[in-house]
Amino acid sequence: MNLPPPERPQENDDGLIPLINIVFLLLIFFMVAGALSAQHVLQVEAPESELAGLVEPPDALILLDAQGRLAVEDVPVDADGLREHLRGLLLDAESGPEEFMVHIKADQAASAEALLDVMDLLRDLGLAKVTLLTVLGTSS
Amino acid sequence: MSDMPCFGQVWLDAPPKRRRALISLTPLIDVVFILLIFFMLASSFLTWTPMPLSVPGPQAGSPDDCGRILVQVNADGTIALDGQPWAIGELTAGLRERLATRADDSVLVRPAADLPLQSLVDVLDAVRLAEPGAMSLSR
Repeated sequence: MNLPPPERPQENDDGLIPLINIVFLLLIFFMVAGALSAQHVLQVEAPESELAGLVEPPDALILLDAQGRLAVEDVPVDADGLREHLRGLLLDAESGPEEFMVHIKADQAASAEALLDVMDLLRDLGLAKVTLLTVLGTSS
Repeated sequence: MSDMPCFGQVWLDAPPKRRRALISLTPLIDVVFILLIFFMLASSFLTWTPMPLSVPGPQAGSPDDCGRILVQVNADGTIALDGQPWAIGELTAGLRERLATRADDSVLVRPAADLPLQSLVDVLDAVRLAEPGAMSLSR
């Protein structure tokens, strides 16, 4: 019995063109819709909030992770180091402490005590513009 | 009709032979795939939103706390409004009621020491929805 000879695979790449179309579309979607963001020195999963707002660029960014470790401007510090680092930043800033904007990026599992400790320290430095960064949540 | 070559047959020109592409598509796809995976892994879709915090006063129980509305948050996430246990769903309504009647429209939130931040942010969201004149954290 004679079987038909097996079909030869196509020489050209015609079959791949729909695939490339989709991959190109995905690529353009991720390039346009996603924002490239730098990784921080501490891993922080921010708490969710339901109220939207516009985040302005801060003069200093303080990280607080779930274990209570601190970092300022991506430099791991302890409480005293944080105070010294912020003092240095304040000296360099043109604006006074009232205008100096501090953002705190804290983990959702961090304790309220740790946050209050940081805020006490900021008050002692005379900083008044303190913002906790949260992620816009969809739940409830 | 006599010039038709066969019965019912129409002769068409054969399509021109396809010219081979100058570059093959396969390396292009490789690069595009790598770019795609890079952008998928490196981009983040988080929407950041700010929560202004006012720095706590020098010490708890200072005289200027008396007129303020006090929201206590216990370690298990339950709350107390001016000392009475309160449902978190009712917090915004309860605060609005108090804000309408009191002269001092600032709210003091006092979280338990080991309260997770997410529970605190949930309460602060409810307080902010009531639109107090000022909101501050304290120990």
